[in-house]
Amino acid sequence: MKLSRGQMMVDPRAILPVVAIAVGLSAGALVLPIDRRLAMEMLLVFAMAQGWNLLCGYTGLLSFGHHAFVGLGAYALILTVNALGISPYLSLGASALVCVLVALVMVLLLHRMRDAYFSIGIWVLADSLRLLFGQWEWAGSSRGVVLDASAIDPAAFADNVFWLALALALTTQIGTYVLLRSRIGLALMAIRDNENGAASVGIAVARNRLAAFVISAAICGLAGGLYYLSVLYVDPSGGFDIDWQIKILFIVMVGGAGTLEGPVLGTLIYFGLRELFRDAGDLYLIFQGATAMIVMLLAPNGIWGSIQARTNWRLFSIRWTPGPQKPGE
Amino acid sequence: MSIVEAILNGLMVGGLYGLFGLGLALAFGIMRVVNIAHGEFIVLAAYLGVSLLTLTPLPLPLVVICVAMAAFALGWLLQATILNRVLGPNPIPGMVITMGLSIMLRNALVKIYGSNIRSIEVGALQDRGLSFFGMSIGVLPLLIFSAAIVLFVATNFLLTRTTIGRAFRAAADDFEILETLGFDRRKIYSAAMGLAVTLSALAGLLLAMRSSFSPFSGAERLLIAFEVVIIGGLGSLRGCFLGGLFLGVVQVVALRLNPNAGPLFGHLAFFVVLLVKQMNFSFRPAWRRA
Repeated sequence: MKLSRGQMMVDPRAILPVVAIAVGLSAGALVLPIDRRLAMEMLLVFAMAQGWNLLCGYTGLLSFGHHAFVGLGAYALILTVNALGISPYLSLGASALVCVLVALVMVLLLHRMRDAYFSIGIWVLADSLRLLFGQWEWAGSSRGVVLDASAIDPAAFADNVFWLALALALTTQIGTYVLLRSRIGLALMAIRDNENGAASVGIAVARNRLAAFVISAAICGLAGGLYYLSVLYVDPSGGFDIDWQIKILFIVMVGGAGTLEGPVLGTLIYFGLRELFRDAGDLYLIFQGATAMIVMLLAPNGIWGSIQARTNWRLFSIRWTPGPQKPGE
Repeated sequence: MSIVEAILNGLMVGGLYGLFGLGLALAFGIMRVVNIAHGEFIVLAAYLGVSLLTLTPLPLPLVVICVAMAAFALGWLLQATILNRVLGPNPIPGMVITMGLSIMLRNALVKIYGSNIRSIEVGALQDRGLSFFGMSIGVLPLLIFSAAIVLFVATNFLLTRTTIGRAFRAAADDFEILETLGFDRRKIYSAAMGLAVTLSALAGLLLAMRSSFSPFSGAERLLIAFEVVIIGGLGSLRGCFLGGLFLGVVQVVALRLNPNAGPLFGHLAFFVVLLVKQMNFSFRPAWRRA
């Protein structure tokens, strides 16, 4: 029997989730001009979480150091704008490029580490970057660096950044969806579930894992670049703050790692909690910790993972099901 | 001479670093729990110590005993009520639960104590020093170093000479065989977590006597503890202690050479050790070699 793509692909419903999310988010953007900042932050954190989910949920590499790419993306953007005087929107390319290059270097150091070793190894690298940028005089050392805003048209700036954030979030969601439905996605999930088994049927384990790592790094870099572009300033303790990683981890794990819907849900829960307790200072953090504990106890696969197991709902179906056998095959 | 002095001071700090790693190594070696809240346990004990010393007339030794007992109870409860529910080959639920706990503890500490820096005052001992060959070593760091050695020796004794210690090691090696011998794996785990948190708490008290801390000190200690454990090799007490000494010496000597770069050189040394070890990792703990 030949494996073919699941019925969802033939069904017009396959396009529905994409259309729905595009319409939903675009509508949100039009309705929410009151608090664009929050919406932008949500979109960017969501993109980071989905990028991280591609690595953790689909290859099983649990990174504790993706805040490295947030900071790198931010520094790459601001420093190229300041040094070359080019448009900050073009400099986003530098954010992605630097993150891809650094990710490739990191792979040289980390490629044989697994499980907790990988998690800690990349965390140490991220912390080293924070310390290095704190020492680097040209990059403003620990004082940080302010974006040279002379090339920016202030009238359209906030709107442009917002639309870029929306574009990044949508591209990430749809891009990972398409990627995971492709052969690469199938290979990644095979590696996650059984590395030796995957290798024995001819899947290039190292190459596929590298691809997922580099893509997730680039997404976090772009999101970090955009976030700090909107702030116009970055310093080492903010850009390389472990808090970014904690947010990402919370969102993916509570929402449901290894599902494309999980990070969406997780982002809503995280920001929902934060806004709900906005007047009570940092109280939301205590509730955030409690939520993580309770969800992991009741639903170790995250909220969406649990829903999916019970109802078999899939908005973004990436499953392959055995298709009908055509005569002659 | 100043380099020799730096190395000696590094060894003193390193003893404490080894102790940071010990609690983490026990929890990982026996229960396979990657305890992200480890750093917060250290800081929590430090705050508890400060509170008891300022609010009650108890002398320091009694405070240490109180904090140790509270820490054992906390570790026991954490394992018995929460972590025993997520046992299994997948370490991620345990990691996320302890991460949630660490967020809660950190922010609860901020709410209660504010985010100012604190430390435990130990009176005249703070400034006393020993001088020999033109070098000076603080009495307090020396005492803390000795305390760390005593705790390592005691833990080693517990693991090799007592029934519960042997049960810990057996649980790490093969819990199914252990259960056929009539031990309840969950009770063993709870006791082991109690011990691990007690050791972290004692490390926290020693830290508070040595240097100042804030509610946000936890993450940094956690990273140090991870580095110590990975440098020393999981499941080896001696490795843990030597890993701590190594990291302490590298940091203090680097700090002497370049006042801004101590932790950075610590990270660098961590990676050098990893590369030298050819990344030939083994996850099987071997308490026997301890």
